[in-house]
Amino acid sequence: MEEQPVKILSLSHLIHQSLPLTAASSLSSSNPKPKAKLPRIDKTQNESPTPTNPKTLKPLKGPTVLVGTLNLPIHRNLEPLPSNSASGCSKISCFSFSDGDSSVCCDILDFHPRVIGKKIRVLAWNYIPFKYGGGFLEIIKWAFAESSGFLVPCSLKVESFPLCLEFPGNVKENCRARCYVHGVIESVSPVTVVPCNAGGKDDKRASLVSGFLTKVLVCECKLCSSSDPDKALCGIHERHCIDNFTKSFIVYIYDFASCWHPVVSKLVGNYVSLTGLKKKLIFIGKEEESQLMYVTSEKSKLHLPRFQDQCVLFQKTIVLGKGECGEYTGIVTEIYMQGMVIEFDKKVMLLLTDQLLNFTHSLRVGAIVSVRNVHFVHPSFSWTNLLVLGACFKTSIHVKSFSPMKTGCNIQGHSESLLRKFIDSLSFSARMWVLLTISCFKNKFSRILSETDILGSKHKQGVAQKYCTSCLPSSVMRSRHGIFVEYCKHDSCGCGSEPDCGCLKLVVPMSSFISHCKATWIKMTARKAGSDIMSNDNLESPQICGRKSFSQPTKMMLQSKDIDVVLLGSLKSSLSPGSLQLIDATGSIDIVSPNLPSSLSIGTIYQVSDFTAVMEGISDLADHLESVPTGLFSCQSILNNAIFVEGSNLTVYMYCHRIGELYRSRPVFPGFSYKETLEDLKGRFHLLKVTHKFPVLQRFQDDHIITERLNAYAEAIILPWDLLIPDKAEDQITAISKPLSSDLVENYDKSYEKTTKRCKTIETSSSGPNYAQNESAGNSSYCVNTFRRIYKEKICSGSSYPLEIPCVTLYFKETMFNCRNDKTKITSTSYSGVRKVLLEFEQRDFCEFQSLKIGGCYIIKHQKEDRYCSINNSSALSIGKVLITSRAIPLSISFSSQEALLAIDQTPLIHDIFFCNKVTVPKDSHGVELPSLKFMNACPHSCSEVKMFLSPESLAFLEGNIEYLGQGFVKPISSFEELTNISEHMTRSVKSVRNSNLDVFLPRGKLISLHGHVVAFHSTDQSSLAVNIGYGSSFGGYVPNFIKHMTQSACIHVLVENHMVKIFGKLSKHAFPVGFGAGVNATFHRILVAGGQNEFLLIPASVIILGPALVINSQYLSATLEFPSIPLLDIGPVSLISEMDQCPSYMLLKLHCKIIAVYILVLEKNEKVVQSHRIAHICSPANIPLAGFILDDGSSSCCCWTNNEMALTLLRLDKEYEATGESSMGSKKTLLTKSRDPNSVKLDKILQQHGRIVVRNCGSTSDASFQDIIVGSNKIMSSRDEDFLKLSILNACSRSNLWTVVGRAMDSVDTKRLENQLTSLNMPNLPMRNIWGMEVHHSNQLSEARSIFEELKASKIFEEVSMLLS
Amino acid sequence: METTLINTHVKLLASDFNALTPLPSDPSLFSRSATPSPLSRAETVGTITSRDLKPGKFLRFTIDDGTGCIPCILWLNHSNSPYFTRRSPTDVRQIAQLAASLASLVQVGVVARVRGRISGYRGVVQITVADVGVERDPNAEILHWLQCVKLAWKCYNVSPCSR
Repeated sequence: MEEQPVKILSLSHLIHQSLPLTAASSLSSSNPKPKAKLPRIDKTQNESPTPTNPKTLKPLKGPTVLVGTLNLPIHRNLEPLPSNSASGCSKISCFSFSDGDSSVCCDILDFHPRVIGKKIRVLAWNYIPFKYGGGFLEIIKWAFAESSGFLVPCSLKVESFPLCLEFPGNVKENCRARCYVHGVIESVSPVTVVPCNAGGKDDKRASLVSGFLTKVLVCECKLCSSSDPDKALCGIHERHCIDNFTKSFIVYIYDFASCWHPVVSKLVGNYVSLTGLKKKLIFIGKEEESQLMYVTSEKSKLHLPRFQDQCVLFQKTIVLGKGECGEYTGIVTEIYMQGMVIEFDKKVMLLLTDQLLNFTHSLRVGAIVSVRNVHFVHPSFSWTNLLVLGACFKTSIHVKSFSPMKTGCNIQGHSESLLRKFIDSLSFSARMWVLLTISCFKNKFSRILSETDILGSKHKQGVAQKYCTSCLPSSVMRSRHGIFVEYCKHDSCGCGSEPDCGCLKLVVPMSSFISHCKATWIKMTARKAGSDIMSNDNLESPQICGRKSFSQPTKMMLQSKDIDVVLLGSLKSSLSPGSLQLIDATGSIDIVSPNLPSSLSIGTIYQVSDFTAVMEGISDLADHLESVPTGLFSCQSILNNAIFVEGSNLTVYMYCHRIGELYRSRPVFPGFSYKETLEDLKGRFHLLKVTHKFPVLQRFQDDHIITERLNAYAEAIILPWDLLIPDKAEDQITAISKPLSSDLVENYDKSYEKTTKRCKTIETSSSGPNYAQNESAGNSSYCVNTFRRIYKEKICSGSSYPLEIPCVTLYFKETMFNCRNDKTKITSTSYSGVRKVLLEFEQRDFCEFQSLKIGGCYIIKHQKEDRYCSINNSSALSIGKVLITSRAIPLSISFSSQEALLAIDQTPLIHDIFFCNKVTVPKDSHGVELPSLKFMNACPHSCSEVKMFLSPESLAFLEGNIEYLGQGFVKPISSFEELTNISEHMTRSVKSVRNSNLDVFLPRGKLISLHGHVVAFHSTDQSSLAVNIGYGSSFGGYVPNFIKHMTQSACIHVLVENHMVKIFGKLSKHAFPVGFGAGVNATFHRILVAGGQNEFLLIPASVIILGPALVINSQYLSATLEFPSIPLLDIGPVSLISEMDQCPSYMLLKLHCKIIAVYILVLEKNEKVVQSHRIAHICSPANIPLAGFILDDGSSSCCCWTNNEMALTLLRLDKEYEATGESSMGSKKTLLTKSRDPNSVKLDKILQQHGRIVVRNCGSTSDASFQDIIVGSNKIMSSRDEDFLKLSILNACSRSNLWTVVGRAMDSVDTKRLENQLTSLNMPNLPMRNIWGMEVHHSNQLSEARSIFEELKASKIFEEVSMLLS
Repeated sequence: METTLINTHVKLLASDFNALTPLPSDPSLFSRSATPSPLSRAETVGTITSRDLKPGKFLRFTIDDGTGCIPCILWLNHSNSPYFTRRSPTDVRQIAQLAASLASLVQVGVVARVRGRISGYRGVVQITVADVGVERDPNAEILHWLQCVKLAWKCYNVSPCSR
């Protein structure tokens, strides 16, 4: 092969081209060193979520060399350090390479100090341009340009290099620099600049001097202590002094010698000798502690043994992850956060946060790097397993092989932000967590907040720092002392011991969290599917409705405390009732909570740390199992700002178990913003009671009636009461001691009913009980001290009927409670009746709409000419629609007794609504200070913004009046008896409607509200809906528009007082609240009594409100489903086994069949018998997790798989079994000896002895006599017991018992699980149809015969037979 | 998935059952001209009209379902039968005990459900009984008839015309 000519390239050409290049062709021909190889990356490890696949450097064609000189960094004693003009690099510890014309920063492999200042040929190299001009040269292979000129005499065993190459003056011969240090360089500090006063205190020429510290470990043996470096360094390997390097000296290499920093850094771990040193006592730190150290002088020299190939191997550190110092070598796999975090081998994170640390540019992705004197830390993060390497001032980085990748150089920008200082003041674990949090904050809030808001600035803390400060314990804070102190007093600076940072929760982006939830759900579902079919969560019982079974969604939960993550985000209103969304830049999640306080403001960032994530979906493994992302909470994902795309149709939402859990979340930025109305809580307010909230209207296609706007509507009644809050405090109201008498209330009630014209004004003129004594206390106590109850009764003429009830108003404003004690009063309005109003909310006010509660009382500010008190419409029952504007937003109001107010300061109750630390009221306001008051929770379900405190009498009167007026509007039915009465009544009335000659059938009936526990919720189709509704096949040919456009037909099974009722109908998807499903308590407002027995219809105006408690317990659900309203056996006509293939798996089948054989039977000891043997009760003799029976109905045969009760029935072992035991009645013990089924007793005894028995049939499955039964147990079984079991199976197949079995055909997933289970039992799956049996009964032959007769009668065969017979 | 009726206990009226003929290729299988699928097992319900017991050997009886009589044989010779020589004595004893108990159920005049293998003896089709159950429900026979009609229509592909 012809050798290509060697091309010499100039640096200026490289700088001008500014392209990343490699000229490593010489390596391939001569020395195949591993340096040029691509780093091996373990492919078995999970790939990082973001594509980090950098390309390799572009190679130059043919051998290309550079010729130039390698130089030490230029000595500078200035601060701030100017950038290297040649290379654009500000580092003071970089070698430079110059070819005469140009100069660049460089790093070099196979370095030896003799190369410094010599002309070399760079045979193999990489060139990496800097972003802002200049570049960096990586010298892989080099040779002296003039080899003969640099030959070292063979006799010379030690080479010496003067440290002060640039010293301008002459070296003083009489300089008393006679000290020396021979030993191993243990560590090197970064270059630091300190003020230097060379000529004493009076010398005005004080300047800055740069230098660095190095620690040298020395051996105190005779030869090592020799003053002659030749003697000390020669033969050190042979002397076995390695273990004797116990003493250490610190050498301060400064001034002109400081340019040797890159050289000394490369010599860490090598034998060196430093001569020409001075011994000095240096005072370091603020406390000026003295430290003996050696300092360099003009005469200082570095001596190196000529043959030193290897570093000294220090004693290996045992890594416990508690801050031990050691060495780590690995491949750089990623660099995050501008070089603050370096990832090695995709699993170890090196923290290089300290700005004083300056490492080489060759620290690039793909390089093989050895990090020396680094601290190993295993942070106690529950969400990930991680090894962190913490770099301190002793850490040095040695690049063993340059990266062949086209990855950029690491240039850290100098930042003086508060955040950087904060990070540097933390322990390594905390630093890692803070960096992750910062990365996450940037990811989450990039579009919401500016970078300055997130990260802060030089003088202002950012949100991230504020959040981190609030979470970190004080133990993780470290005080920093500067390089000198921390280097010299390294062990006492806390660097090597890692404090416990407690349980730091990971702030995760929303998309990662949702993906994690989904991945968890899929994995758990897959595990469940692949799990033992005999386990408790075996084939799920489907919901039965009509003749169909419906798969239940698999609901799983993740507790925040189990995953230790926290979610931050701002709030957004949702269309679904009663829910909000927590959003960040990466995604959003629904928050379900029964009580949404309206004080939560949209756009504010909240923290939710204690929650339950609920995942709900139908098992569909095949689609998602392979695409489950992993490592979602890994540092790589967080630092990479990975955003995961949602893939499956899984519903994920958050739920707070306890009321108020969410509200404990505190705003982190920028603080609560409250309703403007509260700022101006004065004037006249109308009192409303919300009677209904309509689902948000959906815009139908081709529907021009509904505009583009999406508005929400709530119906309310205007109560004949107004709240008056005067603008200024006026004269105190005179008081009388006469309380509001019961006569007065009675009179009022009567007069209200009769609508008399009598006007009654009540004024109080009496001081309250002992309240006045604190009057002088002013604002230091709360308002009750000046409260007066004033009632005065007077008769007046006219149509008005004012009744005034003074009260105390308490409201929440700007993190404090305000109290109004002036002439606040509730007054009756001129209109005595109840009028309806439709409150309209525009989309931007949906949060207000969501916070409205049906049945709740609200005040709304009186506006000029508003419709609430329009006299013109006083006779109308409805005043129409009112658009809610920001000027008059409804404020929730609640009424409490004054006694509750009195109790506040005595027993400060932990509120469940708001979180506040201090309650103060400005003195110039009408409020007073409420010390130690957090909030009172007079009503557990209310979190009203305004609380009114009235006298007990007035309270009873007002509440009674409001209840009376709102009667019949909202009260949900929760009594089954009441429900049945309505249902029966409506059945009659609906029938009469159906018999009438109406052309158009529309559902008619009474609208009710119903409260109950949802047992099952499934979608249904149109035909079954029509049948359910009881209106025949359709609505008389006319399909109302609202039905036509509804998106989801639903059937809901609700438990009301242990009775099942069914609610069905089509409803917009927005009408179903998030989290609605089996296991919740819910109130169904405005549902129609459908006419059927306990059946109700959802109409478009219906709305579902979730109750406060959410039950997500599968055990409970399955138990509830055991009593469906329709017996399974009544599901319809008998099916044939041969027809099973045509039936979908959700369809229930009823088979009329016999048992031909038993295929397998797994019997287990019933633990309940043992556990409760002292209590007499009925229990099963055995637990049968799996049983397979061969059934035959004359059309074909199938294998029926079942368990426990059904298996016992088919084995005829289901006779009631009464355990014998002792029960105490009073003091007398009675022994219960009831008769027991002998077979059951025997089976019980056998199982007690053996625990678990597997009975297999290895013979015929079509003839009972030819079954080959093999009984298996872990213990030796007596022949008697074995015979008993065989006989039991034989008996089960004989006497031609006819069974009616209800079940469903097993689908592919079920069959796969079954096969897995059978494989573990060493049995093959039979080549026949499989059915999962759910219920079994002895056949009722008469009804079966009738059923078949009807079936035949309806078929053609009947006609044919009739014809034949005739 | 099994689609043939070969291991299924077909429900046939006596008139249909007696029309079965052994397959020339395999005399243990039977078929009707109208049912292409070979049959090996059958079930019938009817009144026991005759009983001939040979203790220790067999019980021969006939069952009348209203459309005809089906001859049945219940073997009681398990201890001597070559079919059971490979089985464990315990199993054989249990099967023999079961057969004896079934034989005791077969009494003239009772309505019984009989299940077993279709076999031929001297040119006559019979049921080699595997299981007998006494039907005390008077609706059992009518149910059986209706099931026979339904299965013939839906499963055995027999139309009334084909008869």
